[in-house]
Amino acid sequence: MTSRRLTSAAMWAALTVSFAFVTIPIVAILTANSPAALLDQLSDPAAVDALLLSLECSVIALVLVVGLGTPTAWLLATRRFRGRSLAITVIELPLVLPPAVAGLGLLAAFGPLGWLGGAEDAVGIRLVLETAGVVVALVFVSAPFHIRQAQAAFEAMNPGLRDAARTIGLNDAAVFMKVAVPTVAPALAAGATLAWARALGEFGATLMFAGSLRGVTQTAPLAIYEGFGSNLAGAQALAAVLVAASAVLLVTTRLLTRRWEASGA
Amino acid sequence: MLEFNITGEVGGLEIKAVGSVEGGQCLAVTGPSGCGKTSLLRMLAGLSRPSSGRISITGGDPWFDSETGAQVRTEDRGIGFVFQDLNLFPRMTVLRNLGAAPERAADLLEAVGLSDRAGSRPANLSGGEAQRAAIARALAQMPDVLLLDEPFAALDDQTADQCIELVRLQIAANAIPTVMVAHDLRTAQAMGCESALRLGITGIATMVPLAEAFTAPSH
Repeated sequence: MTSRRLTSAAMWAALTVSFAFVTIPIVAILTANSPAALLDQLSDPAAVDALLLSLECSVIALVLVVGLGTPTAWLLATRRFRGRSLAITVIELPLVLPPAVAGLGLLAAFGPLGWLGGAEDAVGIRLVLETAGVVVALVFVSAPFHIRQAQAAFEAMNPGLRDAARTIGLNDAAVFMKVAVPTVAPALAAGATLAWARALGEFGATLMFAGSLRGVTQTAPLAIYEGFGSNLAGAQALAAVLVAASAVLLVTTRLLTRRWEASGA
Repeated sequence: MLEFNITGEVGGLEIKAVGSVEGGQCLAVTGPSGCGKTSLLRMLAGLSRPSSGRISITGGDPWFDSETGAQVRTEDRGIGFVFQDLNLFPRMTVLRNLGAAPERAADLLEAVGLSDRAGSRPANLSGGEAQRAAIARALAQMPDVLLLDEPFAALDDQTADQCIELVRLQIAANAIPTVMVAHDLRTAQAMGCESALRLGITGIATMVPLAEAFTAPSH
């Protein structure tokens, strides 16, 4: 065998191992229970509570991430200001931060004894052990996924479109809303979808910051962890739902990205 | 009247230009490629900042004055601009690209022969159609000044003549001072340009009679 064929065979072998390594656990989760047992486990009120809470918190977090993250990304992409690099690094930090560290950070900032604990108390806001705390944790860990993608899309946008928008009388805010956002919409949607997927799977920061109270802060990943000790079949059923949701979100992201690339904007 | 006397540096190249154009008139800008014709239009539009000088328009605050620091934003200058690479908004219909009231937009699309393309996206237009859409967009703003960067280059002769006629009528009817980058005498003549600004690699560009601009050797 020539060395070229050997290299090629080694690459295909690497691909096969990579594919199997990821596929086997996923298939194992999906096939751990019969479809009937799966449905039965999912009708358990604790599972329903966890899934609904995951849905509710992740959707609220998504709205906040898109609402705050998109203009943030626009400014980072289009303005040059002192401290811009530092701002980008800090905003992206949660991508690589261990979730437990994120949870500790949130406690130190927004916990009852944290920096802003007194202010929260004064206006009657409670986050720790509350659903709102889950949302805060999800926003913290998922925002960079959207902001990064949005910033890259705005940077890739033809700068001539901004010029043209200004010549038809649009100010900065209108250029952003009427031209930039519609132009890169598929890329923004792809970023938002990735952020949503990250939020749905969030575990560590939520557990540290908001706790795991059923119906209040126990999202699906937390319920899986709890079920692992007491009701393995139930945990596997929830896991199967998360696998399916993640797959759908990932495929959606890919389709949106392809559409964005095809639009050539 | 639009008057300018500006110096600007773009990509290591210094541009010095002095000129003026009356309402209803068109000033041609010529010169070899890479001499800063587009950059001059961008400075007049406020899309890039001259290093010194003054741009003023009769009956309003100066658009730019390096002595006072005055600088009117592009969006407040009231200009129509046809870009060389058009820059149509890719995810808007042709009608929405015009950014004007629907009736005015529809009238202009009819005038440039694009009524049946009002609902199309720019990607689905031919080169000539896209250029006409860009011309319609510039006119749709009821501009105080019109800046045209080779606006008829992608059009066949017959369509170019129609568009030139339309732009000329609009310029005359609304007394709009117009500056147009043109690389052929025929277009400049058809637009009624009487004088031209010939940009060179060095030196100050000043206005000369149109015929001279297209025959004089480069600096």
